[in-house]
Amino acid sequence: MPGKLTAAHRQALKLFRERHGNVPEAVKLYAKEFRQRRKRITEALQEAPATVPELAAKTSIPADQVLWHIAGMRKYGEVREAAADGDYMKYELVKKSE
Amino acid sequence: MIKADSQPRSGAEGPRIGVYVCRCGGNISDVVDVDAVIAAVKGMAGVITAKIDTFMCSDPGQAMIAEDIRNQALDRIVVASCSPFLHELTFRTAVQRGGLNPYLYEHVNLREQDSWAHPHDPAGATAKAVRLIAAAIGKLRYAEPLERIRISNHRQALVIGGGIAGLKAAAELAGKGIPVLLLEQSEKLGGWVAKLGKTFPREIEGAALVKELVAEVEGNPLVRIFTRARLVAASGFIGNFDVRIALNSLPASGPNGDGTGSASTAGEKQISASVGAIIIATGFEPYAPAKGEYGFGEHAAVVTLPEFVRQMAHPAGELRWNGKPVRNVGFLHCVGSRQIEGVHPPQSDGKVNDYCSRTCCTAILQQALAVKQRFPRVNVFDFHQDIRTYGRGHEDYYTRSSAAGIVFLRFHGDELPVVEAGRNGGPLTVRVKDWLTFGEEVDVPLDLLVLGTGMVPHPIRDLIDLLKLPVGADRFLQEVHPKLRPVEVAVNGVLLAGTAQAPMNIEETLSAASAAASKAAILLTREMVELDPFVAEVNAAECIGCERCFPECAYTGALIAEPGEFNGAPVQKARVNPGLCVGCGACVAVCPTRAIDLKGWTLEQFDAMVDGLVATVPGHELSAEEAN
Repeated sequence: MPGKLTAAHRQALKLFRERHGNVPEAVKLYAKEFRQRRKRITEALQEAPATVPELAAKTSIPADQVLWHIAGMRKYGEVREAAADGDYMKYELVKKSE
Repeated sequence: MIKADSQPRSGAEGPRIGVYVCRCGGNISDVVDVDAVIAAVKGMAGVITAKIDTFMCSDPGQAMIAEDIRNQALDRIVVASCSPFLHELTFRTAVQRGGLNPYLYEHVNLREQDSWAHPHDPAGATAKAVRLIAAAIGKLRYAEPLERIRISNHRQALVIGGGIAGLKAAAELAGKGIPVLLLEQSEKLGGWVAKLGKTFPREIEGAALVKELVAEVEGNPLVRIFTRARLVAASGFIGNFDVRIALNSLPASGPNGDGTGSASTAGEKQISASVGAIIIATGFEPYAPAKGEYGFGEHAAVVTLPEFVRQMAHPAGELRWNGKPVRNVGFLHCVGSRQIEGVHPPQSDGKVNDYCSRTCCTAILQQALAVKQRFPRVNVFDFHQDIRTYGRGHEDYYTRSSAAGIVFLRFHGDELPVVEAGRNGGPLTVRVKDWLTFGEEVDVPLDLLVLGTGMVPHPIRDLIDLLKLPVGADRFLQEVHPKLRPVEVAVNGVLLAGTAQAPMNIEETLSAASAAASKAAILLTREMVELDPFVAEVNAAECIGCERCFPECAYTGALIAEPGEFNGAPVQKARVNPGLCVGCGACVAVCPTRAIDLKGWTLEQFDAMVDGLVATVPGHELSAEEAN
């Protein structure tokens, strides 16, 4: 996790906003939806390891979107493959302490 | 940190941008609504003209861009078409023909990254096209004209290895008027080919081939030959390598030395040289079977193919081994090649040799046939998994072997033949499950078994470390791209010739050596080396001497520490050597003051691209679904 923002960081961010303007509404909405989906997938995985189609059914997020999130989470070490389930892999959360 | 003082780089009136969208004959326009894209782009700041063409890469398309630059005083160009791998260079050149610096050009990929990726979402693909172009326009707004880096060139080549590949490369380079230093570790030029006997497919003596090439290099004063020599130091970059060569260096062990550099230094002297290109032609070693592998080292009647070839070189009225006549001889394919994990014991580095050595099938059949022709009464058995006589004229050896009555037995890779002491006092028995007779177990009594040993790379650990050569999983040196850049490695100016790269037969080796020589010649006939301008640059005024960038740089010599001053205190500031920098950006990322930037890819340009990607364009809103 990033550390606390220093005064220098705040100054830089202020300058950045002055230069680039506020974050557009569409981007804020997109980011919000992204976080919500990531949260729903994480919560579903907290119950039990699951395949992408299972997660899609559980969270009502389209399977391609679930796969996209899982790929991202795997890249950053948040999930990993558990057992194979037929043609699919089950994914499980990686505990923070690991 | 963000700085307050930077401004878009453009004339007083702002940039004059031309945007050209390609239909790609429908590849793009069948999905992306290019008219809507043009309409949206026309409204963007700085865009003077926006046009569509069915094939922008065609001559009229390119001419239109060059003409518009002149007629409308455009100073920035975007082409939105296919992958930049295809046509970025095309359009940079077109822009240059219009009189503009070729780096005031941005290429947007609307095909591979848009229309082909989203064929079922035309509206989303169209919105994405608009944003990708907006990002390119943003990036161009901060673009500076760039010049390719030009570095003077040491017009001399170093060829390491005096086998047939090194000889061929040296001969070709010298033939083009380029001086060559040819290094051979052993006492003599010629390498393995000189010891091969007759070579397939034309039955020419290997020694004769080598003799011809040796005469060529020895007869050309441009080639300086150093035997018992090895490379001991190398630094620099393409066009500018400084090397040190140890002479009179005795190989540490083995017939050709083991290349580990632990050589005797008695009588050794060193010379220095500057070269523009280095060709690696260090070749292969025949696979040495482990003790007990198919009875090798346990039974005197189990020999390797090179040993057998040497024996066959002697004229004799009958085939004899260890003084005894040979009535039944067997050849076993794939020894040390095409090994399977779990079936074959691993090599000393824990890996199995899973590659095909490519030359052994034809070489075995060539020897088998020679036995049959010289000694018709000897029975010849061939134990194989597959027959891979893939080259021109090679299959002929198989056809003729079959016709000559050689007995073929085919085993599966996971059910290897077993070699045992022969019963009834005979020297050997090979037990094999033969799949040409549908899995019948056959015991073949033999007087001699020849192991068709494959190739392993000649050990060159020192060279790999010195020149930072990339090594593949099979331990051979690895090219940049097997098809598109077959003799280049990731280190610019270093080229591969022959079996240092992979198992090859002599024809393939010579082709590779010619290719490497041509590549080197292209480089060395020029007075200057030209490199892409996308390298890091340090703004010394902004550098605070924190030294965080130095440990991040993976390219020795690319980032140089120079004494400087910050707040009145002496510090080490960074400077970039553009010849060695590859523009990876690792130093940029850790700089706390944004003092380092990549030319052509500045942080400001990235900011502007992000702004372009997230900007609100009416009718082309960002949605969570397709933004992914």
